[in-house]
Amino acid sequence: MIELVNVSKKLGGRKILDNVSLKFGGNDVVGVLGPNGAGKSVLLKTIAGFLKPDKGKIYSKGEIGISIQDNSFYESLTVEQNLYYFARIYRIKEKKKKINELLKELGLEKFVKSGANTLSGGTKKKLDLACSLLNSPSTIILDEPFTGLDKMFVDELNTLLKTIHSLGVTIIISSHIIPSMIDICNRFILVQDGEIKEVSREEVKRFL
Amino acid sequence: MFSFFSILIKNLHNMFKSKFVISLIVLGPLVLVSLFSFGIIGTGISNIEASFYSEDDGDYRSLFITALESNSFIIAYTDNRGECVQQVLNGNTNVCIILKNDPNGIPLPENINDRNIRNFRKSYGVEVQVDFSKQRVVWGIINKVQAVVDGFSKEIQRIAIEEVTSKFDSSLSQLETLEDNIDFMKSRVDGSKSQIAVTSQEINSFRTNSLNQLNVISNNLNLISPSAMAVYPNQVNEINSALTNLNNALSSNLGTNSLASIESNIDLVSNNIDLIRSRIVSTKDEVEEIKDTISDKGSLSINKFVEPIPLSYSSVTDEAANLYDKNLERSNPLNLVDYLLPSLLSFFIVFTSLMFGSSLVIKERSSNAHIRNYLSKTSSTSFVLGNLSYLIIIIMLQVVILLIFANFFINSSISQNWFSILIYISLGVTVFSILGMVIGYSFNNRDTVILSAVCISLIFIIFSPLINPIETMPETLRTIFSKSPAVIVEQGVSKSLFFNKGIQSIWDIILLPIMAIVLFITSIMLHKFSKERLIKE
Repeated sequence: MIELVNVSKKLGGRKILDNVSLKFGGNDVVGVLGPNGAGKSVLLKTIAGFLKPDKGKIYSKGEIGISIQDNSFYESLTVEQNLYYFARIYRIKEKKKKINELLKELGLEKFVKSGANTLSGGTKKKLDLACSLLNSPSTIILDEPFTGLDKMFVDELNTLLKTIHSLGVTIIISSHIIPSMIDICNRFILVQDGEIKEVSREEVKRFL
Repeated sequence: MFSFFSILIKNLHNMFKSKFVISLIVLGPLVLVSLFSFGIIGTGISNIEASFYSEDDGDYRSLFITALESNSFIIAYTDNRGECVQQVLNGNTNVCIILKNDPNGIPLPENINDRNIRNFRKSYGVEVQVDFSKQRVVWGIINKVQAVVDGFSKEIQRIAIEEVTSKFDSSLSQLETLEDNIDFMKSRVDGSKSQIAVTSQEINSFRTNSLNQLNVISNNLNLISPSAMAVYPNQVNEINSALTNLNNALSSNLGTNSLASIESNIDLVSNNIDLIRSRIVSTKDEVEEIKDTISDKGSLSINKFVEPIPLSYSSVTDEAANLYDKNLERSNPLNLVDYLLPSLLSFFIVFTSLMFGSSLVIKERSSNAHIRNYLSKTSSTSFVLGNLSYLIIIIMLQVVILLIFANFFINSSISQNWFSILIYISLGVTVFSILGMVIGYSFNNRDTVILSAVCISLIFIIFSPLINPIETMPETLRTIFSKSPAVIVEQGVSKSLFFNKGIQSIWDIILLPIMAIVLFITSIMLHKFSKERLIKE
């Protein structure tokens, strides 16, 4: 569960978040929409606790997993080596069990010994998700996860996100590719001109 | 065809994004050249720290020390040869200078008649024990000592010739007096001889005259005898008797013998006088010869009295064998490659560690995976320690390979001193690796990091003993760079390799761990700072 109460944030003299109050948790799959430069990333970083708000408070419970647009793993290592490395630095107990679970859930078993640099774009995204899920987060934040993926991989990723969601993980997705989000998200937040407002699925469809 | 121009422009645009890169490109070489030119002001070796021992306690010792000090030597006095060499081996001084007495020297005789004056010799020898591993300064030091010795040699020659000249002048005056005395004696002897000849003639003449006179008297008496007898018979008889006696006495053998004896004695005296005379003449000749020699002193060679002081130099490494370990005596003398090895190791450590350390960090920081590292619960200390351990292992592995290979073709014994060599090297690798990491954490731009690492490497390499020895630097830079980890490592390895002299005390190496700790803390702080900066971006 994450709650933002009257949060304001300025960056470079520009007001990005102005008195924002939001609450996420449970079965939420939140889509954060908005044009480029609107402040989606600032909102996500603030939610994740990377950026301290100028005003207001943020309450969070449980671990938060992050997956950014560029995959965050070592291209020179294999899938297995990446997972074990991050499991160690996340200080995960029962590493082997957790890694095997993730490999199975994300369909990465046959790529265990493959070098990360040899994987396709979609498989790389899966590996990145696996790394984000290593510390069993209650919330996972995905920043532009569909960028650079073809339709087949977008569908596959959506299926994966649904699986993750079924495990009780709150998902917050930021993307400007609206059709990819409509299927999976059950809540939508529009970031535009310094304002943040929750919009309905129908309103989102109008942007298409 | 002109697409290269676009690439060039693109690269320039990338570069001009960072003001620091621009300033580094301009200021980097400027700082380097300034430091370098400041470092080599005068280019000569100055303030050479020298340990000194003299076998001579006389005035010449202080004269030599004055000459050394006026040639910018800083003297550390020692009581014996071993202590003198030890100072060099300990790294306290650069050279050990020994002023040696000439065992064949002969002092200036007091007595001018002593022919040994021709053998008078005053001579010294100067021995220099120098650390040949300091290749860039060793010949400079020897030349500097040679210049002092040349000056000292001339000064000794000047003083000695003044001493001899003064002695000769005084002796000449004594000889002239002696010659006058001899002349006077000769004239007196000649006079005595003439008198004796006259005396001898007078005695002969006296005897002949006396007999003639007696005959005349006797004849006259005989003429007046008849009439005189009549009046003074007794007196006439007495006179006749006396004349007879006198005649008998003069004509007798006894009288003849007595006169002959007198003549013989006179001859003896005469002969002795001749002998004395001839000796006086001979002495005079000798005196004149000496006088001529002394009068001709200007043509005497200085070198006959004071030989130029020979300077012998040798490696202190050989002396170390006598002091520490007889096993150090080598069948083959150390050569250039041997002496270069510590510098090569030092260069390798500086360059590899700085470049490797900085590029590892900047590669890590520019990696997409880095955000995940920063978001983990793992502390900055663990990240810095992990990266540092990796760097140390890789670089040490390279160094060990280098040393094993070097062991086959150099005369220095690495295996005998491996412990102290590895301590110095591992501490050097640690310090420079963390310094490289600090550079990597300090700048965001890869170009800036690489350029900074290259500039800093160059500073350490330029001011290393092989290229710009600290002995040639002005005082301030010398103080700073004597604490340079590159200098400490290079000198430590040299001592271990060439002198069999491991780490004598913790103070030999204490600076390296202190630097490592300070840099380690700095890099942890920079890691935390860069984490915050990255998240904000």
